[in-house]
Amino acid sequence: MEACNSYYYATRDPLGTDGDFTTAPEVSQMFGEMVGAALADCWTRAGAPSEAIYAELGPGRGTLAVDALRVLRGAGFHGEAHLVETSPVLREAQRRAVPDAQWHESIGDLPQRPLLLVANEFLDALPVRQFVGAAERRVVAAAGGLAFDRDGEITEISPARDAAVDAVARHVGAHGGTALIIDYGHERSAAGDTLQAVRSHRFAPVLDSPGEQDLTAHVDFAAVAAAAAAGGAKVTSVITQGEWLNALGIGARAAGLAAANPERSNELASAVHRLTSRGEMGQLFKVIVIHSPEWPRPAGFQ
Amino acid sequence: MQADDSSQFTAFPDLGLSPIALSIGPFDLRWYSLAYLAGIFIGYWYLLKLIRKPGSPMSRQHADDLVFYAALGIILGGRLGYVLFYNLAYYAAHPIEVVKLWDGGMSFHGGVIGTSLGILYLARKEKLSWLRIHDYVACCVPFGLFFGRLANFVNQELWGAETAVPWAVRFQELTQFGLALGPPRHPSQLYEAVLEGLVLFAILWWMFWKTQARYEPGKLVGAFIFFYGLFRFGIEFIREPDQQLVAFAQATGLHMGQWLSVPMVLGGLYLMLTAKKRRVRVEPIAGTESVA
Repeated sequence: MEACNSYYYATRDPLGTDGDFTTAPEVSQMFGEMVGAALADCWTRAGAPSEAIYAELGPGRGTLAVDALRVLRGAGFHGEAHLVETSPVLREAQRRAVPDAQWHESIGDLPQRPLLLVANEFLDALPVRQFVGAAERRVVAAAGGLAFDRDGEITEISPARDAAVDAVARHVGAHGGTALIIDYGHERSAAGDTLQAVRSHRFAPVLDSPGEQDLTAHVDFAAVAAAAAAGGAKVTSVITQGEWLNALGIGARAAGLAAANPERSNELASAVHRLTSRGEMGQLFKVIVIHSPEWPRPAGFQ
Repeated sequence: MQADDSSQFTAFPDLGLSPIALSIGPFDLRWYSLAYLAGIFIGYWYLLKLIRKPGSPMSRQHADDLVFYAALGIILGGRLGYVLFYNLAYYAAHPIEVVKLWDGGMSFHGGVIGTSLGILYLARKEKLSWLRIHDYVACCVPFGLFFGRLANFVNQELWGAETAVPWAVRFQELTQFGLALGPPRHPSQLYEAVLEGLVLFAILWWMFWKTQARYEPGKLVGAFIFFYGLFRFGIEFIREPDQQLVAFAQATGLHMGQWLSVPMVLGGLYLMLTAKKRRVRVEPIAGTESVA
């Protein structure tokens, strides 16, 4: 999975109507603005430390960074932008969106300063390991392509995700800051095969065309919370993206935008619907925040 | 008989304590003055520790200014409060006595109001959150209360009711025959030093360093007011009502001091319970022109 995805992301921009899939920041500027507002709120209440930086894991085309930074700048934040991205193609796209950003290969390379971090649909692309009982399920060469060596009731773990979350938690635990993790997945660990492939906005058989389609797996948020707690940081409850965006006032923001641009009010309403409703992204997508114990608990969480 | 019974208790003069800490020529430095100085300086030192944590409502420069206004507020407010609340008739007849700080006589409530006004002035001038500055200052006040109560003990003032507990103290009291050793009494100043000083500090310390309380405006100062009121309420049980208020206490069931503590307890509770809702939210301030 890791090899496939690193080839996949290194060779293309998978986003948008011509690509394979779309993410929330590409749906509407309001998503990135809500991220920016949530981070600005924490940063302001933490006393607006000037050494803090904006950081993003897997920033896609940089759309989220542009929208979030616009709100952060409006709140008086002048810190640098640091993007963690391994794909040269996507780095180039991000360079066009956020020209003065700095790029890093891994979370460990981020400067040792307070973070205003967001990771949207980052963890889902990290590799998972599947087990049937105690035996690991492997991909083997078979007649006419690839096949799994066994089937049955599958459980998934993701050491790569745990390591990423642990690195973020240790960073904010040691240097301060707050990290928003947004992804699709489930609140409690459960058995099940969630590995999926997406190509041209459709699900595809996972073992077809390795490296040519987007491979992801649902994020186990209970595992995320457990991995974060080990790093000396505080972890919030898990809430759905719909609850979170509503708590932050996406409705008020959409109304404000619609008042200024009446011709786009239908488009704005459908964007809000797509981001927050149960049938769309509002229920499947979850939000969790890892923050320094010294920093305020972010808005919308218990 | 009375003298025999009482002799087993600690007599204050035997403790070897004097209200005067240091004499330099004609100038006496009293423990009471030192308590104020120590309270202000240690409070200042602690405030600087508090504002180094994320979430401070003020900068180092503001804290430096604040200590000046707070000290002014404590001294002016404390003195004015004493003059107004306790001895107005005397000071109206002898106005020059008002400035004689060295004769003692300061009011806690007056000091609190003075400090509060100092904070309000600074917050208004510097456009800071007055409530959150109160939160931070409240954490620093127990030092002054601790030293102040110890000074009350050394000064043999504000003692408790008569009692036969083993740790009772016999203070020198002014009687019709002059200064004489009084009956064994509760050393309530020491109880207050423990409750208003040590316990109150520990509660606020825990809330500030171990919880998110400092991010909820009004929670810390609410806790300060609530617990201070609660402790004063409790302590009144072992204090005798003032002479002129005995009938009042019998008629209402509670001492005047307890009735005065009730609004503190309720007000503090209100500030604490509503603190979560009180925080400022950042609106999405991206401007309305750009729609992507």
